[in-house]
Amino acid sequence: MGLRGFIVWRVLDWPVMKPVLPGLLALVFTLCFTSFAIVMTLGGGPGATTLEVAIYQALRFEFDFGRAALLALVQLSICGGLWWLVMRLGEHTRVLSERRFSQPPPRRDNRGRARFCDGALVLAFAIFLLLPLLAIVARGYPGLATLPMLDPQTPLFQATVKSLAIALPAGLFAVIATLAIVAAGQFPKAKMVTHSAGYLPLIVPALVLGTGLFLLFRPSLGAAGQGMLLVALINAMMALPFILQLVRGPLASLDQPSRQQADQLGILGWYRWRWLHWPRLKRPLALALAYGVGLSLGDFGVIALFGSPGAPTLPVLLYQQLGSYQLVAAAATGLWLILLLLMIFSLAHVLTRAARLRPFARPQNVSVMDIRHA
Amino acid sequence: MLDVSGLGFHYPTSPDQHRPKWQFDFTLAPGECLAIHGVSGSGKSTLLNLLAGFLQASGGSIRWRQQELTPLPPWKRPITSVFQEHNLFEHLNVADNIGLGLHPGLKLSGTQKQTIAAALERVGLAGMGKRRPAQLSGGQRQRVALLRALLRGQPLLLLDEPLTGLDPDARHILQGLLLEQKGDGVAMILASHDAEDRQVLADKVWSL
Repeated sequence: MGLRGFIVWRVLDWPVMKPVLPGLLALVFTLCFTSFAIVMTLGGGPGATTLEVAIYQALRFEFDFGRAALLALVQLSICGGLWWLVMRLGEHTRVLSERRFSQPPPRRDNRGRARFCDGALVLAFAIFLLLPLLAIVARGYPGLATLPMLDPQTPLFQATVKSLAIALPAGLFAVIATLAIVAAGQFPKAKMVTHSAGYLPLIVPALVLGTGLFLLFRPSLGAAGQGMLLVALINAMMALPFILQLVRGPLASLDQPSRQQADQLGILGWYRWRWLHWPRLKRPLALALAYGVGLSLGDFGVIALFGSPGAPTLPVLLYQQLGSYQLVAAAATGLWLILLLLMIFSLAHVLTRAARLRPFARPQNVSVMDIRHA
Repeated sequence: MLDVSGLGFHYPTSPDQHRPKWQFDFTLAPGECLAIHGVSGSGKSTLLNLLAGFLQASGGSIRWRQQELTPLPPWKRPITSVFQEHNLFEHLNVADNIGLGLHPGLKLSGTQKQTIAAALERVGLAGMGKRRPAQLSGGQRQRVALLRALLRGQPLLLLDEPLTGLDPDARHILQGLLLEQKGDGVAMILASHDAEDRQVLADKVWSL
């Protein structure tokens, strides 16, 4: 049709982007609003505090539980109000597009200035992301290389064991909860509930949930490592919105005609799961597990409430090392955390690698015979 | 004998829900082929979906050898369907796609595996059991779909534009396969826009 430039954007791109934008903006706002770890790492404290840091201080240092509860309510009402507004727009509020593991077709208009601008933007963000990573590798490698990794007495080894002891169950819980939500979504009456379940962790931030649980279970929790199961459960919940998006798309790819075929062939129950759903879901589920484990491995919100300084997880150890100016050790811990995440995602990828297809076959000569008596 | 009597259907959102939009009455003997044709929306696919149990009839009956089929779910009806497309599961190979017609859990005996291999060989797809549907041409895919339908051995075959879009050679092969099934007593209902298909396969033609 000869459409170019702005017209293509106005007619094709914008209508697709518009309904997703409110949810996307709310997601970015929520992520920034609940960035407890970043504020703490970059020096959050009494002078430069956020709601979450204030809740943490009230609970762990001032023991002012009433104030903590009030602050948590403020946090909850802001996040809840925002998502209520987004949902009221009644638009398509999926925070991420459904992943189908397919490559979009190349765009013919992606050349010249447009291509340069896209490339420059991607490069700028890549530099913003890669420079700190490079700094961690450069500073952390000497420390990590000389560290006796397999010595159970080293803080890094102990923190790794503790982190994995929380993150692996958290990933597993997240995947199981996702499957339960998706399965419940098959029933029309439960659709609204399951749809909202994916957003609940965004409406109720991790630290607010943790505050509530802390207040409920104190003094038995929080002092030592007894709350690890709770940490894993909260971490799992926080991963739900992201994991749900990974799984919904491939599950929806079993279209209506395929379902009808399956019904007619009697592929029901376990057989349907084994032959029709599992082959579509094994890669997204492995990735979902890696997401769940990865998000929990990097958690520095809930663990700050329930963890014990004497037995830290990797992020807590990293925070402690930064706080005591052990910069080389901190870089080594950071590098180890990155390597651990890389290993987990690589393992998920390798274990579920799809078989490669052979090229298209030419039709052959055919003889018509009675195949039913073959 | 298939006896369809007063089989009605209306969409749930229809303004007049008491009067069915479609009502079907016909009989079909074993080995007979009824061809139906009509413009889009005339009810061809609706009829096939009602017979297969994919749609819930608002009234009437479907009887096969004196057994009432309307209360039965699709997997309990003595029926197999072949559509114009979307017949095969893309993530499974050809042999598994056919095997699912023999056992829904793919628990196949050695004899059944040999049957599949022999059937593939007889329709010119020897050695293609391990290929995915995406690696086959349109005609090859339809042959695989038809093989699965025929190996199920159900006495009623519902065909929704199964030969549309195929090249003349592939079409001729599939027509031959279907004629052989007719000879074996399989009753067929064929929805087709193509006059040649109707002429070759049908014993009676119904314009909707």
